[in-house]
Amino acid sequence: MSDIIRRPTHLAARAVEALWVVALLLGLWELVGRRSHTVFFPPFSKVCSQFADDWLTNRPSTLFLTDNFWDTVPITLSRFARGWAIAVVAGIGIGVVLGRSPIVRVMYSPIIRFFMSLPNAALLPIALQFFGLGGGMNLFLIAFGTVWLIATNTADGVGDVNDEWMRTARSLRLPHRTLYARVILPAASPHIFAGLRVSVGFALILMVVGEYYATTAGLGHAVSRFQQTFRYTEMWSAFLLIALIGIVVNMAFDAIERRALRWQRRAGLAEL
Amino acid sequence: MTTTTTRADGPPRAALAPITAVALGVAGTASVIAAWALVVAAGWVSEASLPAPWSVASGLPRVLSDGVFLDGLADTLASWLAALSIASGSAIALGVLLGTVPVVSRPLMVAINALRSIPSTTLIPVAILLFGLGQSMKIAISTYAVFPIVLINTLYGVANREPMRVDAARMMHWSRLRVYTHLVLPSAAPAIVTGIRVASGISLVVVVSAELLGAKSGAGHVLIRFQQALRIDLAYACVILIGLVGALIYALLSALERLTIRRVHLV
Repeated sequence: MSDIIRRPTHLAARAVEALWVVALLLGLWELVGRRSHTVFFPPFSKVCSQFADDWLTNRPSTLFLTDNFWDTVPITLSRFARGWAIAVVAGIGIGVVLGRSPIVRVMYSPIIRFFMSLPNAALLPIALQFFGLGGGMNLFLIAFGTVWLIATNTADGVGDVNDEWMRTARSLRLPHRTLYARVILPAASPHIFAGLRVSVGFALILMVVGEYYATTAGLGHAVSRFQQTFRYTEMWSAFLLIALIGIVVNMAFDAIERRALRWQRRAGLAEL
Repeated sequence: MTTTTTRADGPPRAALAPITAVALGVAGTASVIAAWALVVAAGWVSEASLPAPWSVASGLPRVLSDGVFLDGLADTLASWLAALSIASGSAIALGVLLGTVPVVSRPLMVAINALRSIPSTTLIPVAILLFGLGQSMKIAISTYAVFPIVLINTLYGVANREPMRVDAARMMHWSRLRVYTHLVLPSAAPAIVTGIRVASGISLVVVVSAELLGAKSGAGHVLIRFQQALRIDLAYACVILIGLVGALIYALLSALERLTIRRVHLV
């Protein structure tokens, strides 16, 4: 942001400078948790030790993670990954079609606008009716909830390719496939990434909601089980795990975005 | 989330006449509904999962005249508006005050980014425990969900204020208050309004999620009751109405956003 302020050079000092607000918030949590005597809101330290009990072990064979972890997290993450992957492939495909043909875009923009404004959670009862209690409902929710966002952003990017580049490509008589792979998609990639970035956050939200609402396995299911059996510290430790997963997924996305858009001066929201 | 694109170079593509655009939009929507009718008529999916468009359409007046749905919708929108105003009000105030102090705003950004990565719906069970099943739970969870979004946009807008204007204000010995109200806030306004527009969509999603997952009132709750009563056609009608409300809100806020940007650029 502002470069006028001299940044500390020492690593530890830099870490303190960047993280003191986070530390302050965690300290506040600890304090409030200790002061109030409600069982619903345990202090941070208690949640941390529960977290270690629940998810971490000292067995290197399971990567220091408990069987409990391996029973729940991969299911949740694979739903997230599959649902989001469907949305990415379909969204970019739809977006390219919309971006290349203004008429198709005008035709379908009202219905896409409608799908985007629909609070996706409202689809849960319908998806449950459609897919039953299996993982299909979760996949559908994640994919449907994010595909339109990715499609409109892709369409914006594809529709906005520099005309000179297109004319050059045409006069070089680039075959169709090369035109898309080497000119249109790279030129649209900053827009596409902007859409993907927002959609990751949405996909995480929907992943958790879908599992709470109706499922038989996964992290969201674990949370609702803990809640129903009044094991509140366990519930908070599951929250902490979901939070860490969210942070790691977002950081991974930042890294990928920075690498993929390295050739661009503007590196999307990762710069922010 | 759509960005308006202007072609800087090359001949501008002929814009469609508004009437043609509307006609095309109607045709496109009609084709989707026709595909839906075809899928149902061909019997590819069971009527219990996907009712025919005409039975959903005939459910619409019933849902609207019932009163239960409209009450629920009013409840949902009241929670949505309360959450959005609380979150926006506090986030804008905090962002404008702290955004001008880099020592605070940078680590705040780190904290907010971490907070934003946490799927907000995770906390619905806690909100239920702390606030019960009423409206305050919906407002609390939805405020938590959108506060970081508006704050990030405010901080970003404040950080991008024109340096020359800052110098000019200093030269004219403006008071601190005047600097905030006449310089910092207006230059951050477009970013803030964009943040509020994004936040309004997410806030509605979170309110409806909370209603599906426990709250005892609201449009989402009515929707669940229809589904449990196996009136799936009415459930679809509810979903369509909720979606239309969402689209309406989005259109209003986009208009507001364009207006703000135009005003700020005029100044």
